[in-house]
Amino acid sequence: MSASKRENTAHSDEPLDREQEQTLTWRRAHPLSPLVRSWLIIVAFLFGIVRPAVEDFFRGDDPLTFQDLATVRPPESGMLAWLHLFGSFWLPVAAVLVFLLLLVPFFLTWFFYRFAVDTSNVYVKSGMLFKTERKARLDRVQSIDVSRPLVARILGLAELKFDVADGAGSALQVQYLSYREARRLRDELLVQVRDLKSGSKPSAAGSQLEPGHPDSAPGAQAGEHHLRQRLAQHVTENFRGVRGEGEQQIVHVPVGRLLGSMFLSLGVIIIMLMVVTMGGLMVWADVSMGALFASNMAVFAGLVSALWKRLNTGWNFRLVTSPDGLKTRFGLTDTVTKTLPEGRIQSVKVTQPLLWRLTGWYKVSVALAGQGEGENTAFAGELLPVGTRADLLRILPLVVLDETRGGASAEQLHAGLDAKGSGHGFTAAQLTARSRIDWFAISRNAFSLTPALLLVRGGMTTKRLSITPHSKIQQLELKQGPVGKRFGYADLTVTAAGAMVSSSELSLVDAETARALLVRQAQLGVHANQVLAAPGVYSQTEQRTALD
Amino acid sequence: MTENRLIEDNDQGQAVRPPAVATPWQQAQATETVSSPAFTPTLPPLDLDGLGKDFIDPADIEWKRVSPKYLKVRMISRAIWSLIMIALACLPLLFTEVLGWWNMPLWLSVSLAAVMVVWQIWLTIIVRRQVRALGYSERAEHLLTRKGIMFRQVRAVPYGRIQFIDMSSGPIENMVGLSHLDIKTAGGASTVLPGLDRAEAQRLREILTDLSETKMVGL
Repeated sequence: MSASKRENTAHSDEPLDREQEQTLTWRRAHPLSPLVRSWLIIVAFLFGIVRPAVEDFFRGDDPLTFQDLATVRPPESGMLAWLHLFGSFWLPVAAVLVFLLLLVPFFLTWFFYRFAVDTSNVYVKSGMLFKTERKARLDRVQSIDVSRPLVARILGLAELKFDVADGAGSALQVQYLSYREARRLRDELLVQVRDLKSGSKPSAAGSQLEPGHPDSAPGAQAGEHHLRQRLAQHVTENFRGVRGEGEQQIVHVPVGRLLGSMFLSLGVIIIMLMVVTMGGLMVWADVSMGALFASNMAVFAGLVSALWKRLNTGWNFRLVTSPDGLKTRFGLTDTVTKTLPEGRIQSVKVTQPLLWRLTGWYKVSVALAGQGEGENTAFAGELLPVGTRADLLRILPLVVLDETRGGASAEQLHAGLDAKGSGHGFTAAQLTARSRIDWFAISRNAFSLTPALLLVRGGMTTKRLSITPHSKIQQLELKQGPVGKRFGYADLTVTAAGAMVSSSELSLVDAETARALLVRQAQLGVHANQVLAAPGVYSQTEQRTALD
Repeated sequence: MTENRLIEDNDQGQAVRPPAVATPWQQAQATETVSSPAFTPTLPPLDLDGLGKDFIDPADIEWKRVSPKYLKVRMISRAIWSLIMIALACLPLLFTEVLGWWNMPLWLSVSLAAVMVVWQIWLTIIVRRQVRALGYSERAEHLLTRKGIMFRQVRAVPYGRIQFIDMSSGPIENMVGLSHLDIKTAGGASTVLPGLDRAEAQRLREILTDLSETKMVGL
């Protein structure tokens, strides 16, 4: 029932019961999957060995062989004689053998890798010498993502990722299945997850979808046998966006805006200035070009690669609603689809860096529970990498409870984004504390409590508003240092699960308020759940937490 | 409402629920739950306790203190560390004056060592204060911990959010029969309760584990 002891957490690495194991049907991953992992070796092989050999063949040259070696010195040992006999044939064969030998571990990994699914668990068994058996309970699964790295995509494969709600946040993966199979399995399992979760909470709305609802993606049924089709599908996904059944697009971030937002960050502008200065120095001061570039190359390369990475990952970002919750889809070379069931969102954060005020852009990110530290965490928690105020106002109602359900009103949200000082339910720091310390940020630092939410506003240059439901707060911490004691203020830190936006810090509240707030917040964190447990009071709220 | 009572142990190490001890914190919670089964449109204003601004402990909390033996543990580990740090700070003096490898002015190397000695003495002096400032309290729904005098910290961990609890003890703690608990939630740093007698640590762990299971809230 709980994850309070380590042994009981959602993942376990213990051996499975024998009888339980026998009822399972174990399946292997797709036979092409070793190729996905070993693609680097294959490419190196093709470029290093095959290409020169082919070129030599066409040029009519003899490939470089041990034969030369053999003719210079007469063969002494049996080995060299053997070599002499085979001549130029030897080297490619040896290369191919070594190559195949290198591939063997990958195939062995694949051979010993099995997974199984039953009504309530997912099992993955792997390892030849060090066997590991992992299992994830479906009712603890927060989301199931289909992820497609480039190589897997070319081969028509996909990976299934299970995000599980435990503090450690490691995810269970099934690598790799055919794309169609992966989508089918995900849809099937999502329905099972929903049924399991609604089964444990009979008062919840339950799932309207019948099990095994048909695969909805265009292109998934039209078998993807040809590379051309796959590439076409890739292009379609990237440039037109896939729509599943019941999906509705909320926002789309044009590539131009993403680029613009990247260049409107302070760091980038400083580095650009540096580059311009460098150019200026070269032209007017006649400084040696090579020395200048060499000394700044690392910075420049770092900048370009960081920009490229963000552009590549954030390419064609879309947010859609679907029966499974919110979905984001993004990426140029790797298109990632992330499903965010609503109960999984722990906290919402809106930020506006200084320069984005010129264009009126905002960024919305959410903290998620059990977010694995995978390679694609860049946009994982972002609902809106960069968007206009209109986009923002479309998204916030989807993730923030509204006034009638104990949440924040529209005015309150607007005040959280723009206003300073107290008002609209916000309590700013007292003037006594404010006048002496940190008087830049102080007039925006404020908090607001609603029956269901804690809103924290802050930041003078980068404006921030973070919104955390009381029920998601994991722990509270009050701190006071010597300076705080002198001027009578304290810091309250509120922590929610998830790595992206983990804590919203209420800095510089006067100590008495902070103390009262700690008590109130502690009450609300427990109280809110009791209220949610009462049937029929806030059915809407219950629906929201049905996927908890 | 019986779940909202302070939890104490009995001989079986099972959680039992003794009659209520009316502290303001619990009263406030009880009245709020009774009078407002649903969300009220607005929350009542914060109850300021009017006790001033130069401390942060919530009012009327009786803190349980750590075992006095913990002072010994801290002093021993402090002594070891102090010796290491002072030895390190004396290295420049050794290298320049005795071995002649370095060429550092005498006043610099001497004052480096002197500053380190003073700093370590200061750290040793405040150990007693630090240990005395440690405390924890099992509330109706939360575990409260406090520490620090100059840099104070009060932390509240709801029982229902505890993910797991580790009980462990280092070599010095082992000598005097103490343990510490590591309490982890799904977010943020883990809360460490040091200097508990082994029996008390075991009792706390059992109770916290039970409570976290009965009050568990999904993420």
